[in-house]
Amino acid sequence: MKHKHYDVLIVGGGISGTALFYELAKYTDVQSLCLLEKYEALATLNSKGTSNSQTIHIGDIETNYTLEKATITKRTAKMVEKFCLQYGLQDKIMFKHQKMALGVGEKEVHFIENRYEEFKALFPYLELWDVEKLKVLEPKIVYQDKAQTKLRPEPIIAMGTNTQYTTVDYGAMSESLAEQAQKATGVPTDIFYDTQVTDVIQKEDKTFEVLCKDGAAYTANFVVVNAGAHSLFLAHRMGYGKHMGCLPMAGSFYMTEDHFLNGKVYMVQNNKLPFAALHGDPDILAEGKTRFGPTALMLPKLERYKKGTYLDFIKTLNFDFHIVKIFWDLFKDSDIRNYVFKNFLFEVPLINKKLFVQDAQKIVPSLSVDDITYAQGFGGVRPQVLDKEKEKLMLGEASINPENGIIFNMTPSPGATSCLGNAERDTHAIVKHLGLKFDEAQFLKDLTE
Amino acid sequence: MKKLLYITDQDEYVDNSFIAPLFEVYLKKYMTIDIVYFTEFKSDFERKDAHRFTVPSRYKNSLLQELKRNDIEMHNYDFVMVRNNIKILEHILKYREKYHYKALYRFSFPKRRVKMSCDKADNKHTILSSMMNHFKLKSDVKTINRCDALLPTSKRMHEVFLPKVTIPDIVCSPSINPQILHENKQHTGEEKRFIYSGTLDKVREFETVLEAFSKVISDQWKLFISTRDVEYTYEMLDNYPNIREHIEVYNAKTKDALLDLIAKADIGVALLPDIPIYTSATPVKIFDYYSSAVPCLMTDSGHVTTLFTDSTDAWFSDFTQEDITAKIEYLLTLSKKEVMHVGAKGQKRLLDVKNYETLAKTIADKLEVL
Repeated sequence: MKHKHYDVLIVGGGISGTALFYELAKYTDVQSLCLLEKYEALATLNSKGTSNSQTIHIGDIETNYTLEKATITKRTAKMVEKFCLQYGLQDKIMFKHQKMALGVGEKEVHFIENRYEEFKALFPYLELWDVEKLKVLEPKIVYQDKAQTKLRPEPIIAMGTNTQYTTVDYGAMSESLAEQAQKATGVPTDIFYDTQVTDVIQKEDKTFEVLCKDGAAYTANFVVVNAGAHSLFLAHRMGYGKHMGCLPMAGSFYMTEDHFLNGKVYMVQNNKLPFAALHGDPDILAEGKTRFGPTALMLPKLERYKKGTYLDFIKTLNFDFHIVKIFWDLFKDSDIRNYVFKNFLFEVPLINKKLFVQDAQKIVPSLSVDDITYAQGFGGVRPQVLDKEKEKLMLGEASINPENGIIFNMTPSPGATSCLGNAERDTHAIVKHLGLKFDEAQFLKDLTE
Repeated sequence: MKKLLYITDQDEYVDNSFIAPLFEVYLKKYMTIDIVYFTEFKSDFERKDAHRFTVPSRYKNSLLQELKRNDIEMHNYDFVMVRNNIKILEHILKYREKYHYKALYRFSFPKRRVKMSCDKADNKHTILSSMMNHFKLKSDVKTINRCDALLPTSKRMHEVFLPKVTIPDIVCSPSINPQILHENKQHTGEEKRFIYSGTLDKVREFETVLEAFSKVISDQWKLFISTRDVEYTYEMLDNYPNIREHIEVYNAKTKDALLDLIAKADIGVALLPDIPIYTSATPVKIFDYYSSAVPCLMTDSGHVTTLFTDSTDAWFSDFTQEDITAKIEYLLTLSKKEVMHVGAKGQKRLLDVKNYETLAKTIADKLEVL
């Protein structure tokens, strides 16, 4: 039986796990590192290019972000860009596209105009694009018909840019992070694949024993679990995070055969619908195609397109009166009820395309049912966290740090964008706990502006 | 210094002539004012600065819990004022005993009555909707009567639309902002330039005004219209091809842009039907016009005649095509100097009797003795 001891052991080889693996290897004097991945390769679930829209969420066109949140995400998003530039990954796994937030109708136009004024100091490269400019930049969103002879009836405006890096293949970036980590240090940096962690136990000497399904066991002075929804599953097994439950939201995409958009087009988000606003993106995995989505479907399992995990879902939901209250508060709002029901119908064959295209026409009015196909195999699961104490659905990421040498992270969107920022936070906690050194000056020089 | 929380149903980017000067400037001399705005788009609570908070609209019915989650202590407030939204008011009243604040209801405009009038104009009004409105009004009145004070836009608005509200009222009317007076930019054109700013819909019957202009013999005039209802306006103008070349349509996005446009005009137009929803309080557009010393042609209703004097600091007209046409013909005969003189007098009149500085003091004094 394998039994190895490490300074730090990371559970989960997605973008968050590999980012931490890289930072510890490159910028600390950690003596040994281990990464355990459940599947046969890194980033096969939510970090994979097919599972998300591969966007660097900097906060400039994400209309639901506050200025405060955008200031934070800007810093962490720039880390992704700096990492890729440092290793010459631009135009290989990181790309520049045009991107914009589109306001449709008087109310949204008013909002975009004001938001532009509010955000332009933080993002000086942003421009405000009126209909005339959009006719040139993204004509399909301006016209009502395919022949582009008739303007859509509603007023529109967009704020956007075409000078910035916008898109990353986070799956490929995970591989690069792991590769660079192993090159950066001479100490052991082991990665074990096909290794599913079933339990983590804190021993009397304060170290942790990590038990795996194949019978292997590892010990470590510090453990970080970056395993998506399974982070909460493992936390609950250790008695942590009992005030949280997990609601897995699956997202699907629809693909066009032809080129429809020149860049990313995001829509103004309704704050009542925290999961995702529909957007259109040129796909970097399927060249020449445009991807529309994601949809938002509550799914009773923790991993999309993988067997099982239904039971794990039930355990992680942590069902009780508080969860009922959260669902009640959500579903008593007709906007949310209709949204959830409609997104369920987006998955039902025969009617799904017809319904989906009605929503996507807000971006491209001339889009028809014949233009799109359901993107089979695309889409992942976002582990949305339910806070039972506050009785509300938490937006974005969540972290459980009992400050005893173990951290559990749940990182739904914008988790991939903030992977290096979250890893920075965890690195600080690890070096403090283990008494290690962190070359923060070099870290900041390499990865921040 | 006492502390007031103002919860407005307006969105975070509202560019309204009322809230900014009164609550963000003048009332602050007498009390600390915090303002809650709602956003339909952002997902998280946001502090715009120490005194302005933006709350996602999904928390409207659990506002105090959301404020508490964000470290805003309701015990610190002496007054909580809710603008127009009865549901939020009910929520505020529910916690009044717990936090010991005085609950105030700001009634800025009879929105439901306007909606009913619009429905009538569109033939959507039914006996059922009328009954529903009756019961809703009754229930609203009951809720408002639980407050410590009502802040209507005018006394008359209280009397006409909420006659059964018996709590004390503190009039909170739109006024002129002495700090922001735009200079009237004199143009060199021969024509007289009229301006109308604001909403256009069926209830406002702007067709009567256009009909009046179309009957004017002289062609020495122009009409600027600044409205958010641009499409409606264009459709309406299609019915008046003979005067179309005299009319320019704008959609001034900000208060500054609107005041700039007004300053380029000679005479403001505040001609609205002589019905209580428009005549029970002075329309905000009148203050906008006089901020740039642009005199105003307005409907001759009881309310404005207590404020202005015909042909001295404003011009009155009945809301009929004939009377409006006659008044326009008369205005076209006036010299630029005569027009300017009326504008300057009207501005002075408002600065004397209806400015935010004195309004703020009155409100603060009345709140003090509540």
